Amino acid sequence: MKRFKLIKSLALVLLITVGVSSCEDFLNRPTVDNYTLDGFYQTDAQCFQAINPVYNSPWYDFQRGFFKIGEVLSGNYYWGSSPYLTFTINSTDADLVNMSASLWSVNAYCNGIIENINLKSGPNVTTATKNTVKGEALVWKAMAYFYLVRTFGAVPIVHNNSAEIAAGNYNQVFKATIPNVYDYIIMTLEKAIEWLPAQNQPGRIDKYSAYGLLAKVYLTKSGYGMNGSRNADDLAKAAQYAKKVIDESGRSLMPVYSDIFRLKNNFSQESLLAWHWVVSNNWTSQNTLQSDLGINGIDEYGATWGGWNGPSVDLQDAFGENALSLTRNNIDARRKATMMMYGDKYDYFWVDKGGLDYNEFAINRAEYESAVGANEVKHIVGNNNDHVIGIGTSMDRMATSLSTHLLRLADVYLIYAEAMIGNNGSTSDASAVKAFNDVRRRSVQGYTPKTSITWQDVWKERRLELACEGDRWYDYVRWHYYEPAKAIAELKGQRRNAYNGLGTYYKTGILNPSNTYYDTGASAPNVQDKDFQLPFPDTDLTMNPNLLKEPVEFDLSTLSY
Amino acid sequence: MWHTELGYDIGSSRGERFEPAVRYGNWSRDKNMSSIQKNDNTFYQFKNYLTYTGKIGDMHNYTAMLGQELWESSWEYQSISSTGLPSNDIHNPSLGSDPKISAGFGSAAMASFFGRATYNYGDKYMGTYTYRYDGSSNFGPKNRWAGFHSAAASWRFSNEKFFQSLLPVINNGKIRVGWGQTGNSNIGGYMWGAAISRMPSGLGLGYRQSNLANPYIKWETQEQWNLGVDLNFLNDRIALVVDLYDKTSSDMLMPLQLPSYMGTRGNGSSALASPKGNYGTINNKGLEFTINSRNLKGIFEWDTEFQMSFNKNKLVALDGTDAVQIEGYGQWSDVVTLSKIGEPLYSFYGYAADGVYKDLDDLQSSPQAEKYPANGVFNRWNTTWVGDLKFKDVSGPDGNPDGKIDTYDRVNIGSPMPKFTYGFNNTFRYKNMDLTIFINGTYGNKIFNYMAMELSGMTSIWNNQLRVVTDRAHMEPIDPNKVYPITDSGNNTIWNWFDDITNVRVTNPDTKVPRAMYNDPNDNNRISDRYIEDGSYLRVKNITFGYNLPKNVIKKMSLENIRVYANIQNLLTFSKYSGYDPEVGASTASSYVYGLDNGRYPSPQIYSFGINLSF
Repeated sequence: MKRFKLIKSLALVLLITVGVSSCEDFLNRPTVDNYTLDGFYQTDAQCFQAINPVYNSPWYDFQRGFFKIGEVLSGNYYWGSSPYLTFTINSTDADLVNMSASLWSVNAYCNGIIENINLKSGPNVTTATKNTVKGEALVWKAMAYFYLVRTFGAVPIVHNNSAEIAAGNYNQVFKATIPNVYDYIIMTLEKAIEWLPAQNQPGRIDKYSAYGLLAKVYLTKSGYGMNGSRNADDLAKAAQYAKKVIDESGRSLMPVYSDIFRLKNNFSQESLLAWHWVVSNNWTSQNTLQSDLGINGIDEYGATWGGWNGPSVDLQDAFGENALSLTRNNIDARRKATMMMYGDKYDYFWVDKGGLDYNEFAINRAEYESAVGANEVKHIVGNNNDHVIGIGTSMDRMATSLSTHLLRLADVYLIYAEAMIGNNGSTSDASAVKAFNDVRRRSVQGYTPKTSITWQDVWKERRLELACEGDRWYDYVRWHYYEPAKAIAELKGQRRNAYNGLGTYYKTGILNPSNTYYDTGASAPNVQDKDFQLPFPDTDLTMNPNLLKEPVEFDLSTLSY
Repeated sequence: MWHTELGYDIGSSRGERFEPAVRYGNWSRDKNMSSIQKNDNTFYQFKNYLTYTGKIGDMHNYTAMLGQELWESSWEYQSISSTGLPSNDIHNPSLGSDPKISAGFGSAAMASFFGRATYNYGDKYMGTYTYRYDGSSNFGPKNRWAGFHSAAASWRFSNEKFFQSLLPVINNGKIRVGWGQTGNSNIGGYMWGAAISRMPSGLGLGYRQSNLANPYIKWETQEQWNLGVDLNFLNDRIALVVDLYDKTSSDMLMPLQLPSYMGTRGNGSSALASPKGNYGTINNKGLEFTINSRNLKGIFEWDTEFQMSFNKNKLVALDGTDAVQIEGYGQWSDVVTLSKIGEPLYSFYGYAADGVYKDLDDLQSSPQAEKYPANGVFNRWNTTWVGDLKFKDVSGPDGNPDGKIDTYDRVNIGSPMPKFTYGFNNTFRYKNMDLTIFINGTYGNKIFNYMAMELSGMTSIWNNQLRVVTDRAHMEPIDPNKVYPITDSGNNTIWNWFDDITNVRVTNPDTKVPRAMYNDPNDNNRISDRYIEDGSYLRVKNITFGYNLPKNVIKKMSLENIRVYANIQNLLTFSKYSGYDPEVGASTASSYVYGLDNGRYPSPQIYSFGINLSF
């Protein structure tokens, strides 16, 4: 405490100026080192910058669920002691909870952007930009709901987050029925088609992304509530929209299958819808799948731990491969582009070291890791130099900039073929057969085009073409809609277990069946109907008991965009 | 009289991190990483007040005070980092590839006006009234300011004439009563608006909305009633202080808890933050008393101080929300506590375990678990099995037990709030020596041993386990002579007795620890009373022994005083709790969680010896 005259007079001045005249200014302190909502959405560029993060950040926490549900649950991928391998997922499972939070976060982002464009965008923003950005948001929203309904079944419809929070009834909502949710997705995509341009900037969603997704939604929905057959109208719509993409989008398949999954092709024309990650110092902007799926040492950052798991024995069987053999049959180029196995060499990984030799890298080391004799290839970038060659910038610990393709043109081709087969079991319709042949011809050596295709052909082709791209489980979900017993029987018949003793075998080259064998100890999972809907996360059930009750029909006519 | 106080504080810090390129056997990191962060902050406070002391006659004393204070705090940081430096030798981020920068700055401020009046009549009747008018930059233009009153009165009845005859027994007696409001604005800046933050994507720069705005956010008010009695007996040999209080925090500042479908959960670096506002009302009632006594006087002195506190808290309301409870989370998003309206805060919430399933018959006759196979085909790997934990069927959709173990069966499984806490301090003095022993503890609180979930989960061969798992459910064949393989009801071939549900039973049916199964199909490791333990403890918190050297010795060294002492902290703890330390306290990971032991660093035993020299 000081009592000097000078300070006293100074204090008096301060007291008068600060205390009386400018208190409000003194206390008015909004965020100053960043933008605020009211000042944003003023130019076309800002509107696009607002939608850009929806291509990555809110999806970040879905990456594990995306892969574990899509691939491990479906039997395409072996993941030791994962509940997704054994159908024992609980409502507290971290990947499931993160997935749910992530998908709903996407929905909140999209609803918020649409609301902000409508309410906050300035006079300098063009209508074309507003429509394009809102259209992109709607396709992402539809995609989030498409994952939700196929994973959890009935889920609530959340159309406007800020309004529902203000109304204060968020803990009383009911789940909407499954057909209801599909109708909501369709309504969303139809509006997106209206708003989106036929061509957008590279990597961005355009009208045909929406058409392609709509075709997939109709194909999925066609079996719901049916028994043994599918809804013919839905199948016709699926075929119609898929055909539109094939004929009108101007897009074509990439000539070389493995090129689709390389960094330099992040914006390839085969990709209709993709997460576009980037390495940055903002966590959640990046792709981390290399960490979860890559063998330790594949990059220089010491944070890959996925080598112990790999594409399943059952998937190897589907490709006609056998980990107990030291020679590879490379008839189908997709096998090597999906899984690395004994004897494989990759020129697109470790370019600075003259390519990656699987035997040198994964086998001739202290411990061979993979329990199934195979490791992941898609989602893998390689080392830092490969990253720099691909996109010009470095990777980082748990971070690559590799886009994750969620809807590819090849998928749409196969959707078209399957929809055209419809309830007939097979078709020889020229356009359907061509779509199928185009996909298969790209990857299979000496392929003799088919003149007629069956449902089984397409079913298997989808598995081979889209393996490890996070999609297979949803094929089972839609099959289970109308032929539950068959879907269950196929899953129970899968070879989902691991091998014993592969390391010794690969190192010595001598197969001793008493040391190296497929493990039959774990019996087939007891797959049941309820396994086709994963449990809703526990946190929400505690807050809103209505989620445990029967779903209620949501009146969609009250909603609009 | 005019007082002026001016305070100024400048702080800065610098953090450096370096992750070298290393190789350990099979594991390697070939790219190193270097980062430097600088933080600067400034704070100043400026306070003026006028006081006036007055007196009317001999008996009426009064003071009046009027004042003003304000403070401003500003901060900024810059950080740069990069990877792939050519060597581990020089730690400068600008040497690496693709350096990344981040920077930020901001400020906060508060302004207040206040006044106080006190009155004292003959040291018998005393009264105080205080008023504050506070403004905080944390709130929007409409709700920035709030006024808070408080008043207190006391009566020293021992100064009354009628009391004189009692003075030899009770030399001091006072009754205090108080009521007051205080404000809380501690919620962070710019919650009344929505901010935008940077989030690059593969398509280029991106900006995301970071939070939902709440333009109505305002001051939280804490209102407290207080009633106290001070009594000193036998010329201060014994002093008793008793306080009763009733404190209500209303318009409590907190983030709105929303279900995940509102899109506000998930990764903190990405998800839209839920609005923060004034949502809760909490009440605390309690009784505290302290007894100080001087048991022995003279050459050998012995003083004791004993104090005990009883507190009851309750969530009174969650206004402006659509919630009837507040969830508290364990590590990430697992619900561990539930505070319901009208009930005490922070109660643990989960399933109640009821032993293990002994055999197939027990499985079939007990309420059905979620992983009970609807088609009757049991499977050791992915259905409920013999040796799994049997949870209690408490309720169902209509409020009655429904024969199913599901989310309706989660209940309050214990409160982390103690029935009372106590402290007991004894000081002994003999000549130049003194000894202080301080004992404290709690009674009646529960601890959730979160560490034990992993340490007795038996889900991975890579995790060490507690000894308790040796008493897990062990299996034996009911008929050791049964011949395999057989075919079960699901047409699966069964090769061994332990895969045959009809031929397996638990050898130790009274165990509370389930079977070992790495993927835990029955979710035995769910939040349940399996991990609830009694958290009561008594701890010898502090023992100090000191010796002051005799004055005549010291004088020769021209010193004022020399004291030699030895101190032991946390020497002994008496508790049934099996974890490291029963003194757990509030969770650092999640609000609304108390008494959850997720490996809190235990109170260390500290032995210290020292010498104090006074010149």
